[in-house]
Amino acid sequence: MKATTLASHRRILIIAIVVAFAAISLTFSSRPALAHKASDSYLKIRGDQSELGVQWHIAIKDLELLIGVDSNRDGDVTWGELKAKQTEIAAHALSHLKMWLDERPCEFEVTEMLFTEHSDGGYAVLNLSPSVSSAAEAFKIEYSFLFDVDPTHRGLVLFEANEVPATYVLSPTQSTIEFNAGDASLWSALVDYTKEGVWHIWIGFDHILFLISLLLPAVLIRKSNQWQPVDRFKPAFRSVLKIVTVFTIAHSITLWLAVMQYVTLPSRLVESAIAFSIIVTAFNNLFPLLKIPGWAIAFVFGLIHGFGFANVLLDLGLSSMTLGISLFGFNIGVELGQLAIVAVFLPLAFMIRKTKFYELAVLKLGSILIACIAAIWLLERVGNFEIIGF
Amino acid sequence: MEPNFTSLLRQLFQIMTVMISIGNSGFAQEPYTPERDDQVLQQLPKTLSLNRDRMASIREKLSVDPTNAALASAAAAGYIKMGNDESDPRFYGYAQSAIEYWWNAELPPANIAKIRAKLKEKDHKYKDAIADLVALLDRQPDDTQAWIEVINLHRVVGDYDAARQSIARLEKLEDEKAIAVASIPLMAATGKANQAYETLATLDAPDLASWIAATQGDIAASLGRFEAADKHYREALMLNSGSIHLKRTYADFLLDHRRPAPVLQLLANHENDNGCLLLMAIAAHRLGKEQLAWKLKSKLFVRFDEIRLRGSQPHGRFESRYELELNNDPKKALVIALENWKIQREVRDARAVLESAVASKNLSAAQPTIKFIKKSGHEDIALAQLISTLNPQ
Repeated sequence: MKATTLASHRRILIIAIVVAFAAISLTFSSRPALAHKASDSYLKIRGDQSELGVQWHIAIKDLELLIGVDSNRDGDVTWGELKAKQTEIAAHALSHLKMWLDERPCEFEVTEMLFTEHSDGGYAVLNLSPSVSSAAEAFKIEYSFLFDVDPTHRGLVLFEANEVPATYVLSPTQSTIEFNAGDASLWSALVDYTKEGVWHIWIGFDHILFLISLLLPAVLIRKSNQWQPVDRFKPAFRSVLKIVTVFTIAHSITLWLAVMQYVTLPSRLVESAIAFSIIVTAFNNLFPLLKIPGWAIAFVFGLIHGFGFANVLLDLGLSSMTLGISLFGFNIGVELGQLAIVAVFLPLAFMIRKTKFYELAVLKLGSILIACIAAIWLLERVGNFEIIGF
Repeated sequence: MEPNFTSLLRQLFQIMTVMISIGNSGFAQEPYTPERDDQVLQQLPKTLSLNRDRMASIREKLSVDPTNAALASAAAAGYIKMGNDESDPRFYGYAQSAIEYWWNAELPPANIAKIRAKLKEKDHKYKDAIADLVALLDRQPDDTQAWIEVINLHRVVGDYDAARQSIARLEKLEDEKAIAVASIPLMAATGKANQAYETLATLDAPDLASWIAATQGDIAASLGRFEAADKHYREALMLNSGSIHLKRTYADFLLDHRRPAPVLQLLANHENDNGCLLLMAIAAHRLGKEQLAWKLKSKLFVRFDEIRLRGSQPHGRFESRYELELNNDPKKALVIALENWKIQREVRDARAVLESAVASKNLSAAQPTIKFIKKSGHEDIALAQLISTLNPQ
């Protein structure tokens, strides 16, 4: 959390406004063309600072068309048959790939051929050794493989530098791409997913309500079963900061676990648990049942909310190669969205914290209202039917 | 909600299996060196090996004479057949390459125009395909094959008025067989299923025997005559045992009638086809073969992932069903099904919408689809049951 560096809540307000506008101006692009899985080749480039590694996965079916690898024509391509054609495969492949590193042309040599499988069959894997040994900053690729016999073929570049992957699609209409190791398009992917994260907080009423029910008592202190307003802004701010930070840590953990598919839970279970967490938190404002501080509640329930975020992120249709960056960006977006809520809520709450109105109407009635809405959600989500429309 | 203990158990099991299969990252395994030279890495489509010389010679001639429409259409037709036989879309790409010279041409030769429309259809670009055929028919209104294709496409996208108008034009050509082939599926989709079924029985066209039997099967299944449907489908498969499309249709029918066991055998070796892979995964799941189901489901998941990676989208009809039946996510299934419904409006597409609407208890989202079905007069008992679940009287 960068919140510690934010000097005044005025600054947060400005951010909140900017974030809100960013969220509103989001537009969702329509789905791209439908397709089955046609021919692809995968060009994996590792561009770490010390060395450059290039690996090219080419479908055996495509090699059969281009070169004819089933030498005995029995319909089965064996490892022996493939090896026997390695020179021809290498020559054909390398004549259809050009690469420049920092504007210097880079020649390749095939050092090794391996095998792997993708979802549509077997692939020959060529390990390429570049004439320019060290990694570069600027990359340029000119790709013409298979395009003359299959205009629907795509060359998928999976570029990885400093463990941040980026993907590029080469097609007959875009057969040349240029990118940099610390790339702008990575940045744009990050920005895209950040926007998605903000957007999700913006439209995800359940997360907003959960956060608000956690924040409601932040400008008050419970002394001998009575709520009393805090004296100064600082302790209130600190308590909010603690809650938001811990909530973030908790949901980041489960978001990561779920998106990496280490743990997956049915979305209905998760959504119901989220509704339940809101009820408990809101009730806790009325009757302090949980003998633990707000930040601890934020942590426990944050774990559940992380699974909810993951469902959203997975729904966006991630490809595994951009997983890391999207996970990170989405998380940032969620944090920004939360900060926006805090930025709007905290100054207002702090201003009116001493009024009876705050204690009765905002804290108590507000918590009751939140608990009611969450109870309806819980019913809906457990029973799988719709009562209210959001 | 009726609590269902077995489904709860199944869900628990799924959670466990998911937790165990750590890090299914959706990408290929690490490349390795196979141990033995005789290890088979890839089985090639039979048609590819059989026709290698012929296709190579056509392509060679074409490469020196790329504007030769006869050569180009021969090459493209050959690859389209391979694509159909193997359900491997890369062959449609090869076919596109053969007619590349005309790909953006306004008025390509008739044969090329029909192939181009067919390839656009394979890519689910129905509107573009229709536009190609309409442009062709404006110039050559006596092309019965083009009429049949365009009528079929109008039906697929749910534009029944346009289909009827095209049939009226085709009728002027007085080719009884062509008229029957074009109008029977439309009749079946627009409230005249019985009439369509009877017409099929009287149709004298030995060259269309497999198509006739399969269509009879579709109609009988729609009308709830399951034994008859089963008989027709098996007859169709006997006549055209290589057709993946037919196998998929029959497998779908078997799943509908709680007979998952034969599905795995029927579709074996067709995992290449997304639809077959999906039906196999569902069958395995219903048979309680969770490990196999998991393997097939993961493969489909990775396939979808790699399709997205190349900048495309999986076919909505399949992806929706995957989300609904294998991934327990009816809301997502509904979103995908509705998106697909904008493009394609056959029975399966309607079912995708209604089934996911029922599962996610979203009555309102299904209403436009229900309205469309009622207006068209489509008689399909599966659809009728879903509609009565969604709109109880």
